[in-house]
Amino acid sequence: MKLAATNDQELAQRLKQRDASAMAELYDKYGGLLYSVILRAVANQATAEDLLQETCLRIWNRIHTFDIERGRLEGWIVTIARNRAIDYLRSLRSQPSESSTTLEDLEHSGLYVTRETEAERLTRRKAVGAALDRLNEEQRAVLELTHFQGLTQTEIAERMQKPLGTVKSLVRSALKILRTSAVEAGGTAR
Amino acid sequence: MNPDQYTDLCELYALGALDGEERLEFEHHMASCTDCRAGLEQAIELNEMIFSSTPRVQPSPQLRRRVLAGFGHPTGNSRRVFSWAIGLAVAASLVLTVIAWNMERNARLSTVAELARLREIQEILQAPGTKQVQFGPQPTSPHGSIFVHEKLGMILIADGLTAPPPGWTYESWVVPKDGRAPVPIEAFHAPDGRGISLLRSPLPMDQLKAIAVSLEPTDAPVIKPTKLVFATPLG
Repeated sequence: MKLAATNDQELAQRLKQRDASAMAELYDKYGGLLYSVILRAVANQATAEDLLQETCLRIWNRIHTFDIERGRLEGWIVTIARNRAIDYLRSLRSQPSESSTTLEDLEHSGLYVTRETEAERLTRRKAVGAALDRLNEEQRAVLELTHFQGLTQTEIAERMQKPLGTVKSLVRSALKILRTSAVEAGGTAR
Repeated sequence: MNPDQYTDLCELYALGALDGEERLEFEHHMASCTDCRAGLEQAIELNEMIFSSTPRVQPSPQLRRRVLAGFGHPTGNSRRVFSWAIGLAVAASLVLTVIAWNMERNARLSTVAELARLREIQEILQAPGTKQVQFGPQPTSPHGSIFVHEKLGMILIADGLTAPPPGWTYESWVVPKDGRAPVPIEAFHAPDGRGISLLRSPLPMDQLKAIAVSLEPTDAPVIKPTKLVFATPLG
């Protein structure tokens, strides 16, 4: 099975070698994506800029935990960016650090393993993007709150003033649509 | 809970979006369920695709300069080919001791990340060809072992470490033999005076001079060792 695009492997290798120009290339390639994800979550330009800087620092300081042969660089760094934003939002809500610890655990690079070619990945990403457009308004709302606001299902129920069971059902149905679209586009099914 | 419900929980766990009891139940189940671990990796991938669907907003050019300034100026032709070197002795009995220590620790592990890391550590410890170097025979100063496998990576196990000052953390380094700058491996903690650092990367053994540990401020880029704690020659 073909692994990740060689250029990301090379980029990660150069980052491991503390090549500052590799960080500039990483920024030029993925900075827009990382910034967009963070801005979507925090909805404040100055905060998003600070968090993007923090994200780059974290990538630089942790790149040596990244497995170049098997790792998926884009997935790893976009998750780091999203988690920095969620950590920030949770700090505003004065949530206990328990959740943050879980987020940090989920940045373990061993969880970001490449199983497909870049072309296959793009096909699946397009399918998921199209499936997002097919979600109804409530399904989209709960995904926005789980993925970009870092709320738990209980917190979503409180915010949307809906029964917890209804929220769980909305989350489950939305994710099932996305998961199915990814599988039908060539992903792996459980 | 039936298998389909665990599948549904993978995506939420991957977001850190499960509530307390539900999260604990899922972690407990996942520790012994290979299907759920695979499901978690797929869930993480699906979540990435959702994150990546975000419409792009380009940050300002000023931000690029600000971010990259923290990492030093690009050198233009700085594509260094890092190579490593090492000459190591073997002590199989201590390898087994460390495996046993890790197995004991495994009983207290719950998160997927910890389990994944433990598996990586055990893979190196159990691989044929893993070499060991002991350092710091004085029990009052940092001491421990370094395990190196040329293709799999390296594990540093250090005892006798003191708690870092607030705002500082331990960082492990590989030191090339040819005089080039040390390369950081990872930050690590040392609860109860013991710290473990893992490097999953091939280590060409003919050019590595030493493994070092330093103290680094947690809020700054790790460029070179700030306060050297110890360095263990290899070879």
